[in-house]
Amino acid sequence: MSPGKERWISIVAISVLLLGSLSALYVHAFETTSGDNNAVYIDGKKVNIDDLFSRYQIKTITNNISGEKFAGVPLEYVIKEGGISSPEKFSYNLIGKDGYSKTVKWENIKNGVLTKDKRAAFEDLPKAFMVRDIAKIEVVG
Amino acid sequence: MNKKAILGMILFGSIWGVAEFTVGEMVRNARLPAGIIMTGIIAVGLMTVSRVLYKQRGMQLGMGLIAGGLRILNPFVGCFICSAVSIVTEGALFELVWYWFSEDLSELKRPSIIVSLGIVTGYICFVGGYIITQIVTPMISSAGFSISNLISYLPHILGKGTYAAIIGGAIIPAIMYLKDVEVYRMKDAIYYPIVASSIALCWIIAAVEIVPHLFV
Repeated sequence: MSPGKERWISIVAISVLLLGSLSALYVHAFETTSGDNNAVYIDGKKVNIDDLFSRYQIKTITNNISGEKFAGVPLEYVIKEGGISSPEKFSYNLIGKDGYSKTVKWENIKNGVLTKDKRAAFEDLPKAFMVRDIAKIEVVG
Repeated sequence: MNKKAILGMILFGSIWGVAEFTVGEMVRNARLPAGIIMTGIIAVGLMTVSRVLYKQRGMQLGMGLIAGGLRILNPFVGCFICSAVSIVTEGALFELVWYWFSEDLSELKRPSIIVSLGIVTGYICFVGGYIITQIVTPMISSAGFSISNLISYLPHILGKGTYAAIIGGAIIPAIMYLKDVEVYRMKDAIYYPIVASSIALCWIIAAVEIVPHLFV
């Protein structure tokens, strides 16, 4: 093996380990400094999860891709709790405590629920959209 | 690619595909980090075993296509589209990383080089597969793809990749001990029946997993 190639693979290995470790540190710092365990911020307005579950009827949905069942408050009502007028005109960015986020349309929101453990679940979207431990929901355009 | 390698590709691709919805499901149910384990151990492990045994380029992309195809056939466990896309990407990325080394792997002698290759393979396969999944899955769903979603989650993906890199750095040197196994020297009368029956077994397991769901 040529010395150049040998050096190259070692440098790349060290670089990916550094990149990965620094990214993990960044994520850890973000995770531990944000979020409220029993609330979701909808367009800046704090909504308590226990209040949501005491006020609205629980709906059970089945994800038509995985067949899994999820029970929770319809996301439609969760969004309306944020006091957004004409909610059907917007898209929504669901942001997890760890920074994971997914943007969904109002049509998707109407087929979704927010579970007791603050996970979004949808009838018509794959698992990648089921953001866990939601910290906030932002209104998009 | 000769006949033995083609059959080997089908065998290892089938094992990978079946493992995705049997072992993968067990790992997910046990709430273990499925992506890291399935990529770092199963995918990288099987692709390295096949590369070391058959010393054949292109085989791992073929394995990815077979495993991804098998995963598509079972839409009843987890997100089958995401998994299939990720599997094929991992196969392609493995080929890309290993392309820089000679086909007979004679360059891979020093342990530090083998460990480095393991780290790079594990990391690139995991991170690449994850990123492609995050792009393709929303694209084929009704919600659509949003670049800001991917960018904001990128540090998380890059961070998680460290575990896959460490696993790759540990298992690839162990698999390298198979380098001297002479698959091509195995007698045809032994090789073909063993490989063909192993492939059949994989597909029987796949059918046993899939068929009951069809009648639910």
